[in-house]
Amino acid sequence: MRIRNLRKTFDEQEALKQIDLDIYEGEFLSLLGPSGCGKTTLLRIIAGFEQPDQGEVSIGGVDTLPIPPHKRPVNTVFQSYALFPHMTVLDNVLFGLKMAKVPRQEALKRAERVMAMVEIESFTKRKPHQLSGGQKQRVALARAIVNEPKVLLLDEPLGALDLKLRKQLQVELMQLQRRVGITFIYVTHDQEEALVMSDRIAVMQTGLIDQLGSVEEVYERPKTRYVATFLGSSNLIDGVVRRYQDGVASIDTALGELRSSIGSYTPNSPVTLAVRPEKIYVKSDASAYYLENVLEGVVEDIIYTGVENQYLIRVKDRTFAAYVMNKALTEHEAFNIGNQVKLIIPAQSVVPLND
Amino acid sequence: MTKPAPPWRGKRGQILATVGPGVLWITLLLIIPSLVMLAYSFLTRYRFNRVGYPWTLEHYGTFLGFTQLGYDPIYLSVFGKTLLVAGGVAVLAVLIGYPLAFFIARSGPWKTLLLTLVIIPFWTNFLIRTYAWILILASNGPVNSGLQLLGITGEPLALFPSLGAVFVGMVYAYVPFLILPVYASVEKVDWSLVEAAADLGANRLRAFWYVIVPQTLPGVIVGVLLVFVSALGNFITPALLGGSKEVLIGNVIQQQFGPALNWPFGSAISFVVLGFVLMALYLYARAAGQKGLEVLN
Amino acid sequence: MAASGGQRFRAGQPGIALKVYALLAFLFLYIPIVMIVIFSFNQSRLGAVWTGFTLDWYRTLFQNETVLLATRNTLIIALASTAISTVVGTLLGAGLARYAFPGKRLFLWFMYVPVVIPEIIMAVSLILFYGLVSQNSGAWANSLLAYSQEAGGLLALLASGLGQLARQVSSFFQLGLGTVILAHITFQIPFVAIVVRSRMAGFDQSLEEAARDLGANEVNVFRYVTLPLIMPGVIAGGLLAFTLSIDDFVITFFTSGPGTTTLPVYIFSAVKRGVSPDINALSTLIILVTVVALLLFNWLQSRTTPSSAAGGSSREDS
Repeated sequence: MRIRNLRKTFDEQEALKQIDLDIYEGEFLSLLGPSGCGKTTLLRIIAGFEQPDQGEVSIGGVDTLPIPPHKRPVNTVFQSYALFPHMTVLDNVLFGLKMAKVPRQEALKRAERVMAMVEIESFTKRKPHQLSGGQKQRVALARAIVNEPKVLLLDEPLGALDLKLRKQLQVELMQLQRRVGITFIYVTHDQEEALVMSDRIAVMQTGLIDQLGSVEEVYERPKTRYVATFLGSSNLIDGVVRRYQDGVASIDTALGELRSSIGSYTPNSPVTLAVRPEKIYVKSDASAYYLENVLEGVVEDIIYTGVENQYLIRVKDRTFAAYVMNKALTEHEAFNIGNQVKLIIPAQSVVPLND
Repeated sequence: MTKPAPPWRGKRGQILATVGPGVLWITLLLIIPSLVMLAYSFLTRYRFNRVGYPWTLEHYGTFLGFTQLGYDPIYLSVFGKTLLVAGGVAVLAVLIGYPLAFFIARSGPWKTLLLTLVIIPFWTNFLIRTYAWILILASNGPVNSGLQLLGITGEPLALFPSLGAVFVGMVYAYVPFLILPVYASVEKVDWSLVEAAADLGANRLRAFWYVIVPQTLPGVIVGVLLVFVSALGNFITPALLGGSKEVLIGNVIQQQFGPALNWPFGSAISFVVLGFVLMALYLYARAAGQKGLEVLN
Repeated sequence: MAASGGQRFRAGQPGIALKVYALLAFLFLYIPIVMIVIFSFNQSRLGAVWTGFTLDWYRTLFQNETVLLATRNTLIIALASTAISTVVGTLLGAGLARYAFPGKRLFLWFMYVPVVIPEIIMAVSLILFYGLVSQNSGAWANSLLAYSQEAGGLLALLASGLGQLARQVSSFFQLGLGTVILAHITFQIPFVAIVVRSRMAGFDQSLEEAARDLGANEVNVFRYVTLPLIMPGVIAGGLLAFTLSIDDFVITFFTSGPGTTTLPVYIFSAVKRGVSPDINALSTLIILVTVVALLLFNWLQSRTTPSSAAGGSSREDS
């Protein structure tokens, strides 16, 4: 799918400012962003429920914008599931096929196959109001997938489910997508969800795509402050580039000189650096790490999340967050508030941002 | 490369298909006949109810009292009487109906039951509810018998036909018209304001007057409007309960289209009444806005 | 609203005086109706003296030719008008709830007119209109047919055909069943539209979008999704229209011709001569039918469709 130059305004509110996007066949792409960033609007334009003020959308080279939604090779799984309350589960799933005038026998076969895939074959006679949230979710999925659309649009489908169910369905959805091979465009504000399920993520903010790339790319090499802090968390440090040679940069910051072996720099220009907390090592003795960046600080606070210890460490006048996993006792040192510690930041974890 | 929004939104077709028939019907059978009526009111009437040119204002003139035999404001006086009666009926309906509506709205779990009980008379045929009073007020009817039994009167009173009977009949028939809108607005009253008033030292009466009444006023106005407008055009009640002596403007109109066969004159009168009604509605709309129309459910 | 001394002030709770008043008011509302029902069983022919219980009057009703004819007319008119007005009104209500169009506000005003206006004015204007149409089409019929006599060939055939059509129109618009039915439909449509429209207000639009997304064109969306879900409202509207038609007196009185008397019209002329128990019997039956219809209507309106329980949003272009 090709999306170019998309722009959409609602009543003086610019929902989408400039969207350019290429989506590859068979991939799982997430549109990630907070509410109001325009991700749902973008989805609705692809589905055909909204028309952009300008721009083009094409699928496989065919311009989709003039085509009304019921004729597009696109199906949507709605946030509220939108199951037809007066029809049984089976009739819901068959609906799209019925509209396409698929013969009954074949339609039933396809429906059975898809329902087995999402594990709802035992509810076919029930009505939506008799189902739980998770079950409704699967029916909505089945109803959309059975039509074998070129693209499947999912609008925060797991939003209404509790945490455990959400996590379970995230994995199931991902596996399902791999199995059927349909292109998924998934809208969510939950960055963890996006990381788990997607091949690529488009991080969106107020009508623009801040960064589009594979999951690793977006996470390890965020381009903007927004992406660095929205996806996971980052410590941000401002500085000026002193030297850039052979792929290694030296940056002067208020906390001392930091070296980075990732990204590109322009000498003598200001730059903001991002360091993810989980990349930082916290040790009492840094003598073994003289090749990397080392900062000294005092532990201000500790947050225990079960999986990790989140340390808040004061370095000069700044607070750094550093996450240390709770591995076996021999591998890590436990610190208390007030301890003096050394922060070891590998050069490849210091990432420059574009803004 | 930019493109304007493609024109596939053929919503026009949908709008036409759904709203079209209705609009067409209402235009054909409501708006056009009204215009026809307007036209008729300006035409001259010839013998045997032939109607033709020239255009004339004579019918409106007749209504205002200017006949060929000098000034005789008989029609004006009938209209004036109708206005007074309609007004009086509306006022009485409020006095009777408001407390009842209030009661129902505040009766908690009984609300729906009581409301249904009020709606039943509302839906019962108007004609039937009106002629019931013939039965009640007849000279050997229960009222008279009762009065005689109690020794208040010696012989049967001719309670009907009379203007009083017309009055009673109309009030009776129209009270439900008023209860529903008033009930709706009592429902919406913000009771915390009453408690605030009490807190500030108002006794029940003052709380009622200063807090409740203003909030329920929209419903009252709608109800009064409904009653007044219906009463204005009512010819059934005077015909049944008023005899040949008590005539209201509705009866006059009916006569013009019945025995008197003077369609242009009848149209003129109808238009005057219609004008009054529309004016009342317009004033109401000005005061209350579109919301008022929704009270109709 | 008199203060009842000694009771604690609870905001707006009805005091004793109000309760007593309410009771009296309810009695006031019901006594006339109850009286009619009671006296329909009265043995005596003369109004208001009770002489004994009898079902005779009901029996004579069923033998009364005029009454049976009137009943037949009433039912034909009610069924025909309800059928058409429900369809047109439902479409209208759905369209009003969903779309905005130029002149919508103005049209809404016009639509509310039959609801508020004194019926007599509407009736009278219809007589004029019918008369006009009938006369003019009659005149055209005459001249067309006359022309077809003189002319020859194809033109004569055309003129003859049109002339026949005009004659049909003319006779249709003479006061009779047709005119009454048309009139009834006219005042029924706004009521049905209002009921359907308010039903649509609670309707989940994302269901329609889902249907479209799955390949349904507009007609199919309406047929398979919208209509089934608003059906209780449609039926309620139809019921309302039916009751309005059966009960209508004023408009029917003016727009009916000889031989097309309906029950209310019959009652009116009978009652002018004097109240008799068989009229009471007839009235009681009518009251019964109306009450049943009303209770049905209430019940239908109270049924919430599952779509409103599932949440979602409905947007109105307005």
